[in-house]
Amino acid sequence: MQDPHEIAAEAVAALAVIEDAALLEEVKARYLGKTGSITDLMKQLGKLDASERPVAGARINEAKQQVEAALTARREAIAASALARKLAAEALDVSLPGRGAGVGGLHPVTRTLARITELFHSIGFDVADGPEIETDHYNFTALNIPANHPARAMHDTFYVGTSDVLRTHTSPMQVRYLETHAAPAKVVVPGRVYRCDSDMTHTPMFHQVEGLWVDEDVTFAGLKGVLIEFMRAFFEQDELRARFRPSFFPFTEPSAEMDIGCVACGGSGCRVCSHTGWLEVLGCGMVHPNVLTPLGVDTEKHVGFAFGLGVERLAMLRYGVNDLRLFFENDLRFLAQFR
Amino acid sequence: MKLSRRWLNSVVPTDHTDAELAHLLTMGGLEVEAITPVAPAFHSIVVGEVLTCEKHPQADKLNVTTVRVHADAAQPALQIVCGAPNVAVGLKVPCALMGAVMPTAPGAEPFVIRQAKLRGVESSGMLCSARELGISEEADGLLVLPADAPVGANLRDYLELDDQVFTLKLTPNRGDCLSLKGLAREVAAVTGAPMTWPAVATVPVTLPAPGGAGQSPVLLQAGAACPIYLGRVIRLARRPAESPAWLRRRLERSGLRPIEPVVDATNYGLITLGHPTHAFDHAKLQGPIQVRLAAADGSERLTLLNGSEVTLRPDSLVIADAGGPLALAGVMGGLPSSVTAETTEVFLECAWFAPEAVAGRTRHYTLNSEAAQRFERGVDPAGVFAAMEFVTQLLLDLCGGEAGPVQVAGALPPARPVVPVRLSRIERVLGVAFDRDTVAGLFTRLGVDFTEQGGVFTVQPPSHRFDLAIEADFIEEVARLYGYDNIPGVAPAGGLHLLPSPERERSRLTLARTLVARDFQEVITYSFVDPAWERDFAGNAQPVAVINPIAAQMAVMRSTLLGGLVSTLAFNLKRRQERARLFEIGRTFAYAGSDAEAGSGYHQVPRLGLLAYGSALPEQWGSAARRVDFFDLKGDIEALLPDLVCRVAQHPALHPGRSAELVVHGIVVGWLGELHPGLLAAYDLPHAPVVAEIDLAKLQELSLPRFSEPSRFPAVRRDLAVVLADAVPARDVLDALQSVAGNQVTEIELFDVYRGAGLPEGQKSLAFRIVIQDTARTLTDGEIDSVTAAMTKILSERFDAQLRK
Repeated sequence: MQDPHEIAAEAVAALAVIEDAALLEEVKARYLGKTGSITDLMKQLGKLDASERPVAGARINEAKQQVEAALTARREAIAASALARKLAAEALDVSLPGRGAGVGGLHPVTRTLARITELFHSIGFDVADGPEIETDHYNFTALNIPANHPARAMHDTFYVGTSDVLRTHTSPMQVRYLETHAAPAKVVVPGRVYRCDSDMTHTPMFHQVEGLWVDEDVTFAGLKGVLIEFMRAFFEQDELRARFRPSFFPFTEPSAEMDIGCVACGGSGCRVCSHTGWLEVLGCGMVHPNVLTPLGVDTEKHVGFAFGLGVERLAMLRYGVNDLRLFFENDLRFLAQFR
Repeated sequence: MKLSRRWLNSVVPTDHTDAELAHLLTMGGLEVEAITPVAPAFHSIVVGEVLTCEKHPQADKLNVTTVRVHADAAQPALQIVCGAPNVAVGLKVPCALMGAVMPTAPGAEPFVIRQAKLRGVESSGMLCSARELGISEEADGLLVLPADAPVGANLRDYLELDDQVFTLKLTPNRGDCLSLKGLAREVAAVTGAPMTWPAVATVPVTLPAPGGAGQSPVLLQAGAACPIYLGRVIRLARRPAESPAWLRRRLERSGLRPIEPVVDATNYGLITLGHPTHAFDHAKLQGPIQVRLAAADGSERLTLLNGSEVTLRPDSLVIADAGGPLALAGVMGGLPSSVTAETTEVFLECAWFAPEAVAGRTRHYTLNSEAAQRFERGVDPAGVFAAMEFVTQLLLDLCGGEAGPVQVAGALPPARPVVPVRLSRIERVLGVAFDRDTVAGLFTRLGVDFTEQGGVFTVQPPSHRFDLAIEADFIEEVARLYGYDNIPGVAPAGGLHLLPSPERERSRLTLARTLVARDFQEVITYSFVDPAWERDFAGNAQPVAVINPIAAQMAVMRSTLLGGLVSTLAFNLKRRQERARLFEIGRTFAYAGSDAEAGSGYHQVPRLGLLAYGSALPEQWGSAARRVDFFDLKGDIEALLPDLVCRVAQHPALHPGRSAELVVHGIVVGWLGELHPGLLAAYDLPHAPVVAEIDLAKLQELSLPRFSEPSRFPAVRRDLAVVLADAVPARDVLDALQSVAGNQVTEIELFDVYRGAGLPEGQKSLAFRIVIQDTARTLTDGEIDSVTAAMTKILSERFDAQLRK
């Protein structure tokens, strides 16, 4: 009788070089199959003395187990390598771009308008919208700018009818809003406005956001507080400097121009601020009694402030755009920068 | 408004540097736009006198001169070679001495005058033109100085060149600052420096009144428009004459052009006192002066000083005589009665015209007028007598002569009423506490008369401040002089209230952001467009016209957003951007007929415009390239309007077979289609974009979600494929299916459309997914079959549709 361990060693050696699952089964049959060499040994066991059988049987079993273990290990190894090959074959070039539709973008002016209105909305300002063809009454007269007032010359007005204009500012909405909303009132009005002017620094259409707050505790100090806080939030500069200069708008009194420290150079002087360190960013003031009184506002009780922001100006400062006219050319390569 | 700092300092001396003064004025509301030196830096240039002048032996165009440059005539003269054509013996000219530094452009090497040899002749200095000194652009030879210029004097001192011109950007309410006196008053107020203003003396009268004693030569016929008019005759001795250098200099530094003494004198009065006056040639006047409105029938005409002939509008205040209008009152004189260099007798007018009588006239007649600029903003009526004497005296100083008596017609307008200004109101509006002394101090600095009792100031508005009439005006003055920067910014307290957040409304911004996520780029185009766009894209022959457009291609208001979108596409195609998905949200404009909203003759409807062009998806490795089409854009719109129905309809700008009305719940809300092929060439488009336009209001409507319980019983799917005539719209088939669906059918979706092999010509196959489900039980096969049977039946009846095998 052949030594079972020799057979087992031979089988283990044979298995070790097998890479193919079918061959593995052949080797298994050769040793463990019905006519396999280890099976043969088992069959020969009956021919041995009863006294030798337990020892021989145990040796055969050991050998069988060795072969089976080797078989299992090999089978797993082959499966593992087959899986590895399959996975390797399935590998993707993950660096390829993703598939599908692209993403568009908001126009930078809208993006800025949204930022402005959302900031004011966050402290309780309503957002309203108004007509762009305005009557002379709302655009001028109701704002304390009577016919022939020299202030009208400050507005290069487009006319579409004898007393109809393209609104030169969003301020008419102060009047319209107060006609439909009793004080207290707190609103911002974003929108298009028009001036008959076109050069390097003027486009005949641009955007403003009007702000109006009429309430029992509104003051000039409050106007300053709100606008300084807004500018700091808008530019995300907590230390942004601001100053207010007396100015003139017929519909506010006192009137002011607000300057902020140059956001491009920090105030040391550069081309953006014409080397002054300051940027003029908005006009504002306390709403004139001549505006409020005809609207039925009790000016002894309610005081209002108003302001008008130039949206393109803020967008230029925020994003470093150096030419106003780019906003209305709509070059997609320009617009795509604001996604 | 321009003014010399040196002149200003002579009236209100302050130690502030130019920059400091400019800052104080700017922070006081008078914005200083620029500070311009009247001359660039240079030194060692003096007044020289040309003693001899001979041709240069070697050069035709050069002269050899000797020039005296010392006050002491005993000092040696300099030999200077000079190339200027106007050099001549006896002239006083600027002479740069050896070592003099000439003005140069910023950053250039300094140009120093040294001993030189010019064509073999020694030259020890340089005679200068105004241009070489940087004080004028004119270059016609040497700057010739007055004959009495002191030889040897430093030119900078002699010409007062160490001076700065302040350019102020005055707001329209501050007409009172359009003069030396007004600005000086303001400088005094913001700096606290005292202002000294000499009293104007009365000129002795030596001529008799015209037309006999006591006879007023002036008839006031315009009421409040001109309540007072002063006139006087002045006889001038020296004519023609020239204004002295100091006067010319002050006028030039104030931005006014010196002309001749009479004009210069009135201009000097205007810039000094802020009170315009006008001189007529007395010999050209006929009969009494009238102040009246122009003829009501608009028949009167007048040739103005600037040469333009105008037809006088009936609301124009004029100065007239028996022969008709002489001048536009307070605006501009007429040419026929104007003073010439030979005029020896003038009639000097010094009147007060109400702002309303002058305002807007320059705009109507398109004139530039320093006088009108002041009268329409308000001239101090109380200054009328002083202005008359001031200009008279100056005229006599300049030309010599005699003055007649001042003829006064009318009287000063009454003083304006006093204004109560409450301390409590100042605090209420400004939000900062003030004490009486602070406010009293500010009013004092302002130079206004006031009394105070119990916290109420009673203030007399100064006659020169037309912007001070009500309490709010004085609160502004308090804030301005106190300093806006000294008022702290505080966060207003206010009650905390939640803002409404309407859930049934999609905000414009949310809509825009949804479109952005769907690969649309927002654009913003002008609201005024080329009239051709309106014709081409809207078939609109009567767009809302802009009366004064900035350009012909921006002459009408758009009634459709399409023009802007298409032109944006064309603009970008030229820049090799081959794919575009654009949107714009904006108002469109049209005349409203009789259905106009009250008070408005226009529809101003906000709309969304969409345009898609080029490949459906961005060019990429993983998806086959395909040109965007009608159904791509329709899908985008369906994402926004779930109940959208497309109905065949014609649109002037769209392909007739590829356009549709967009209908929601029976209401047309817009349209969608492929641009008409006939428009492609005109707009430089190789292919037709797909475009749509939708009323914004409908896009902003949302419905509130309403819960219904999902069924726990199995859903059954049946596919139904039918063959029918190609012409039958899919929507009709879907409607038919829906009509027999009953409430167990939860879904009917068209998932396949097929034409071609296997089907007869003119037929198509439509395949629907039908999902059937009951909320209370599992359906039997029989029930399910009866649903599909009913559907098959109605399609067969209505459309002659066959089940596809």
